[in-house]
Amino acid sequence: MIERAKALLDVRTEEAEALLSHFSYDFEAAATAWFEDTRKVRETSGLIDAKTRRENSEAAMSSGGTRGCGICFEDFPGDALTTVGCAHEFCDECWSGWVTSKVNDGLSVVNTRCPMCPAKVPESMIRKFLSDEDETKFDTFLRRSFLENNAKLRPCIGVDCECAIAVEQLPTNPVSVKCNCGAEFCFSCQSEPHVPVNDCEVAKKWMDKINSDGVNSEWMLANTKGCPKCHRPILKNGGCMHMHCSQCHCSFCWLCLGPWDSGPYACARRCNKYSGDKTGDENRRKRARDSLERYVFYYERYRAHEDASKKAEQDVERFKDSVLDILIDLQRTSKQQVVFIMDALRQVTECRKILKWTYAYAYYEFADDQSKKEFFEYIQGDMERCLELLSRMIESDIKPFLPPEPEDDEQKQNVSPPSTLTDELQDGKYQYAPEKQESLENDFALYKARLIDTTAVLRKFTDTLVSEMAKGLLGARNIDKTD
Amino acid sequence: MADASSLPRRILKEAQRLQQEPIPGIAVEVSETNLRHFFVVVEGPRGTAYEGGKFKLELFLPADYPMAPPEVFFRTKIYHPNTDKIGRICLDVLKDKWSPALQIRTILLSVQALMSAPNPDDPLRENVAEHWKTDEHGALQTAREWTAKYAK
Repeated sequence: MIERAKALLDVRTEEAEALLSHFSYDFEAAATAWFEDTRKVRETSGLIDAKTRRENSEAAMSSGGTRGCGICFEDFPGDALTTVGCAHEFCDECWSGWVTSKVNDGLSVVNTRCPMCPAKVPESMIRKFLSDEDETKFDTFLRRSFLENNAKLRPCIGVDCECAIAVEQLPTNPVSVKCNCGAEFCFSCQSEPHVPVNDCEVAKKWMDKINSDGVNSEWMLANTKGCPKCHRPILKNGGCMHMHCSQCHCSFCWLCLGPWDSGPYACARRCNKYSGDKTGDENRRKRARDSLERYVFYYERYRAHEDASKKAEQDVERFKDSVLDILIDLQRTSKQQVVFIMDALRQVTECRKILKWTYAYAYYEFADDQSKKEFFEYIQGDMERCLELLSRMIESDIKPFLPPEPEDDEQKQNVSPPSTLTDELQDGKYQYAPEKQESLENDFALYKARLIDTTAVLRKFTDTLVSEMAKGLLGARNIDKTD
Repeated sequence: MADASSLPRRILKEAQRLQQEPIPGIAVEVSETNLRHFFVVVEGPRGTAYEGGKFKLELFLPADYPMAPPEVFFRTKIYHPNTDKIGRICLDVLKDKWSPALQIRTILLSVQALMSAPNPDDPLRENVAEHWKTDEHGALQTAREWTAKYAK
């Protein structure tokens, strides 16, 4: 990129570096701005043009052999003073002091300017005046700045991971990327992947919401009432039925949510009288509660799939560590023959993650478009049913092919480490009679075929859901037409 | 007088120039025991609530000056939103905007300018700033009273 910039813009290497850094490593942007108004770009990025450079140097020459350093005011022979090309010359010691203080200031060191004017100090010069230790710091900052400013690069969010992930082209929709260290994140917002929710803002809004009141919403639903005017949830904090909303300052009766009459000091509607008609405020109250209930509905499902996806991830590890080996042993088969279970498990994990986000999506997306909502719930339902089927097949239907589980907890604790199980297997404890072994092997072949099938179907349902969501559920219209 | 030979030339030159061409309204005196230590008296700028007052400040040049900024404190009580009880000053050029291109002279000019233009949006003393924002007239009145009482 630097070579390309040098050739096209006709600048020196250090200028190309500075320019690209100034334009966040966006070559096109740098080139466009450069050709539009070279002088302005030079000014803002602190690059001095050749003519000014020459003039400054001639002016310095003509002012004599011994000149003063602009910082320490000591006199030096002219060749002991350094400038970045502007009219300000400093001695080595002062330059060293300046760049060292900049390195200790932090990330901004990559954009170090002359102490007296905006002229940019090139990287090579910063290095020249830094101690080895500070140069290491500088390298770190340079790397960080490169990563943070380059739109096509993202540092991995994994703990202690020093990798970065690069894309060739900026994704139009958020994509989930996975680092070699195992960490997975959304390339655009660098937080938990939220495919198929395509808007990082929606994902963030949802995360903020569930983190702020997710835990409390059930409690709130049971213990609070929505303010009849502003619908904020209100908790009764005293014995009196006269409620005063601290947000919108309206006064109302806790029992019927009607207005409060402060004259005779009672509920204005005299709600001790049963009328049986639910109008006005009652409806408003219902709306406030509905909105909470709606949130809890989506939140519970989001949460359940999140927990299930974590469980599925643990299953992947468990199968990898022990269960597969047991299966291979018991079914007298090879590793290649049982890989299908891992495929299925990974599919389950992935689908759970996708499914949980579909609930966040649904919470925000369907305010009024009923046909889209129905269409969405239809394909979401397909996927969810298939997922549950596959999940059950892995968890329960596999049991006949595995050694019987210990019955009570005490026993479980004694035999639970996988190594013990394998040892016992080698002792032949779980050997079956030959005819039973044969029928089991047949069943296993059937089970395998079903599992592979179901995995494929689930994959298809998932792809449909994800691609429909990416298209904004346009499929809903087709359904309407065919109806 | 303290030994000047170990002192960087820049500090000597700055001190010299401060004596030869004093800043209008600001008197600077070098400490006899420490040549990095300056006693400053700033006259309250005309047309402000500090007019007529003489405000004592202390200025100290740390070992890594001019790479690090000077330390400046008010030694006279002043009612000003960008100072605190013990005289510290909230001023960008004394912190992240410092550059070795600046000098004692420019810093003192900045302090003088800060007295003319208090900035309650970036306060060091929250209650004083609040006073300034809600009742500027009253705040200026208090500032004048403090000037009369403490800055004589």
